[in-house]
Parts: sequence; structure tokens; C-alpha cells
Amino acid sequence: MDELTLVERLRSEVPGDLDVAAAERRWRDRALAAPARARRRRARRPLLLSGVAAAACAGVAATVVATYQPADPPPPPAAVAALLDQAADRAGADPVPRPDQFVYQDLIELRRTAGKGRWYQDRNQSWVSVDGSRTGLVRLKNSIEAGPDEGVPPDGDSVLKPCGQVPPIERPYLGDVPADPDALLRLLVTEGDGPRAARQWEAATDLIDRPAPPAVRAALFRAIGRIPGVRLASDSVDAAGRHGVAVTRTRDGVREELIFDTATHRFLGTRDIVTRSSDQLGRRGSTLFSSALLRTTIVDGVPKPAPGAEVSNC
Amino acid sequence: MPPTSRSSPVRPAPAPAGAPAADPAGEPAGDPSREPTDAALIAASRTDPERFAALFRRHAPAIMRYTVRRLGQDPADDIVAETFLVAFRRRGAYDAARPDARPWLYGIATNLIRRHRRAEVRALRALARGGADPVTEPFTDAVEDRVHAGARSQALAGAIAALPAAQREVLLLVTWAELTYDEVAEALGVPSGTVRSRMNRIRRKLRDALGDAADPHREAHDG
Repeated sequence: MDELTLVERLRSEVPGDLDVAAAERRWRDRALAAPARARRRRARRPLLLSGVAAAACAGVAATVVATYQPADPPPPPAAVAALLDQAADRAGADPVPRPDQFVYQDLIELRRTAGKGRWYQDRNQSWVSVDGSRTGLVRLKNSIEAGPDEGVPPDGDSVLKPCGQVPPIERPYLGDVPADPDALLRLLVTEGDGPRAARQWEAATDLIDRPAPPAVRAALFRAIGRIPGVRLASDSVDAAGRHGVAVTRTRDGVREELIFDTATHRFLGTRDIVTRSSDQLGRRGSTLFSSALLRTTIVDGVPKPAPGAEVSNC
Repeated sequence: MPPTSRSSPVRPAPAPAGAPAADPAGEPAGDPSREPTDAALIAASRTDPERFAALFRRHAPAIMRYTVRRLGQDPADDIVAETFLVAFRRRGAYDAARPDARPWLYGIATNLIRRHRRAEVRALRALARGGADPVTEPFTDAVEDRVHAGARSQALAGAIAALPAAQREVLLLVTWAELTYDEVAEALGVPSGTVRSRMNRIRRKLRDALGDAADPHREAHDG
């Protein structure tokens, strides 16, 4: 008998109609519960989980990690920690808002339309209530008129409802996000998928351009310096064309870069570079995505939402 | 049974939509020619995320069977959920020129299954030594059905366990996921030629492990 036919028969007792309901529930909780437009994410980064699903995910992460642990890369060289300490010092000196105020951010992201299509920029302006008690706003504007198949969320406003039960990681001003680097790392490691250091990096980089108390941002920068596998790059460019020095981490053929102003050590933005050519991602050395945090300030009010604004969770 | 060409296995050509099913997203059930392709569902889900659920329902049973066959039931729910979660997050970059999402989905599942490599090999080795198969054990109820694997299945399990992970993945995507060589290439992000040459090596190793005498008919049709 053909050896491949024998393989086909091996474990063919496993039925084809296994129950997928539990898997569907888990997928739905994590994929469809997060707000669609309140906050855009880089193509590769996972959405941070909302509260209910976080507990389930911690279980998932534990299951995956328990069976296979690759060796962690070596700790970052001293230059990385030095840069991030300076960035932390600078961020820690930022003004602290009153609870009734808003943090305004002007963020641009440079990405391609679906299927490695054309490049475009989207501008994401957000007004986030510091104590979560007031209605906020996210305003999205794309630099192109996208067609229906291009996978570009439409321009428009999203109203952010006041926050109910929201886990700390989603809104650092609200919850018990520690202002200590090691405690923060321990908190970060419960999210996401993959080896421990990769999960810490994913969660940390997802927090890096969210509004947060200055002490927490400072702790975040220091914490990033303690993640294995983080390196220094002497030059990178953000979505606004600003050059800076970067801390980087490479995984699955992509190098993710966090860019800082060389002189002031202010956080500028991010950039993702392909390190291994593939059909999916493109040629080695090409840029997959970049962002630029143009402005972060404290304001007292929110603009009136445009007509037709969606309503989103906080 | 005449040997089939492994580059295009004999199986019913999938309708663009796969098995018809009641779809709360509003697609008509029962007529494959009117159901949207995977690519169309994914495109629609970019602005209406709920549409992705139809893709889940279409393909999760097969991905589940494949995952259970490789690793048993315990990790399977999480892996299937994770596969579709990763797919959902990457749906913005899905290549609309590919109407069938199975290679993409199997590629994601394969990456996730890779993290359980040691457990997978352990179970295959247990089977090779003549022990019970923890994967199929829940599906064989009656005591009399729980016969231990015959000598050939044991040798086969041992040979599969001994394959480098990349080769094992190719073999099982061809035989268990029933993907064509081109689809396997797409799933793993390697050239088709690589899949073909890996399969030739794998088949030689399996034959050696099984210790079969040369079969002139088979040699004439190998490719």
C-alpha cells in the first residue's frame, strides 16, 4: 500500500464534526468585543484585550507557554537602557492633568491598503477623558479616497462613551497600572501570544502612544529596556519624516522600531521593517508601517462630533 | 487503487463557498454558486467585522479536525480560536486574489501548532512503541476497538516523529489537510518546488521506515 495512503489513514478516527462552539466563543470574545474604531492598531500588533477576555487569555497563554519555551534572547546591551532612561526622565517630567481634563493626541500612521496596495496616511486625533467620566472623541481622516475592497476604515468621528468597567492596561490613567518597571513588566506579560519577552514587547509597544500618567510612561520606557532581545538602532524615521534613534526588537521577520528624538529623547513614533523577504510581507528592508505622534497635550474640552459620528466604548 | 497525483489529489472540487450552511450574516444557504468566496467574506469583514464569523463557521471544523489529529483535544479549542483571531487581525492584508482562504488559515494554524512540537513528538513516539494513541483514544469507545496500532502504523508513527518539523508539516498538510502542493507552498510561504522535493524525501524516508519491498507498479507512478 502507498505510504501516503497509510499516513492518510493514521488517526482518521478523529471525526470531522467536532464541536467548535467553545473555540468560536473564545474567538468571538477576543476578536469582536474590542471597539472597531476607537483606536487604530498597527497591522501586526494584537488588539489589547478587554477585561472579560483577559482572564481567558491568561489561561491560553499559560497553556501555550507550558509546552514549548524557546530560549530567551540575551538581555539588551547597556546603550539601550541608557537611552530609555533618558527617555523616561524626559517623559516623567511631563505635566500631570487634572481628572476632569482630556489628553489630546495627534497621531499619524502610514500604511498600505489591503493586499499590499497603495500607501496612505491616516490621521488619528483623539481626546481622551483623563478620569473616564466624560465623553471623548476620536477623529479619523485618511489621505486617500479608498475603494470598498481596500480595507481602509472610513473617515469620521467616534464618540468615546464614559468608561464603565475597563481593565487598567486599556486606560492607564484609570486603573492600577504600576509606575514601577518590574511590576509593569509582570503585568504586561499576561497579554498576547508567544514567548514571554515577545508578549512583553507587544504589550509595551501597544501602550507606548496611549495617554498615561507621566510616571507610568517613564516606567514603561525603563521596562522596555529590560525586555530580552531589544537592540539599539542609530537611525530610524517616523511617519512624519523625523529622524531619531530607535530601540528595536525583531520577531517573525519584522523589526519593530520605537523612535526617539536624538537630542531631547522625546518619543517620536514607530516603524516596522521587513527583515526577511516573504510573499506575505515583501522584500527585506522594506517598510511595513510607520507612525508619528505629532502632539500630546492636556486640554479642557472636546470638539463637537461631526454628524453621523459612531459611538464607541471608552 | 490507482495512485493519484499528489499535486492535485482526487477530491470533490470545493465550491467557492465550501459547505453551505445557515449564515446569520445574511448569505443564502444551500446554493454554493451564490455564496461568497472566502476572499469576499474577508473583504466585507474589514468594515463589518461580524462577517468574519461566516469564515469561522466555514473552516473551523476542518482546522479543528486537523489540530486534534496532530495534538489531541486539549490544546485544540485554544489553537483554533487563536488561528481565527490571528486571521481576523490580519484580514486587512489578505490577498483578494486568493478566493480560497484555507492555505492561509492552515498556515496560521501550523505556526501555532509548532509551539507544541515536543508534545506532538512525544505522543507519536508513544504510539510507535506500541502504546495507546492519546489522540484517538477519546474517539474509540468500545474496549474491543481499542486495539493497539499494528506494526505498520507503529513504524509509520515513529517515522513521522523522526521527521524534521518542516517536513512533518508538509507531509501532514498534504495527507491530513488535503492541500495541494501549491496550497501547501502558499500556507508555509515556500516555493512549490520546495514542497515537491520535500515530499520526495519524505516518501523515501517513510518507505525505508516501513521496510516495504519495492513495488514495481508504485515506482512507475511515483512523482
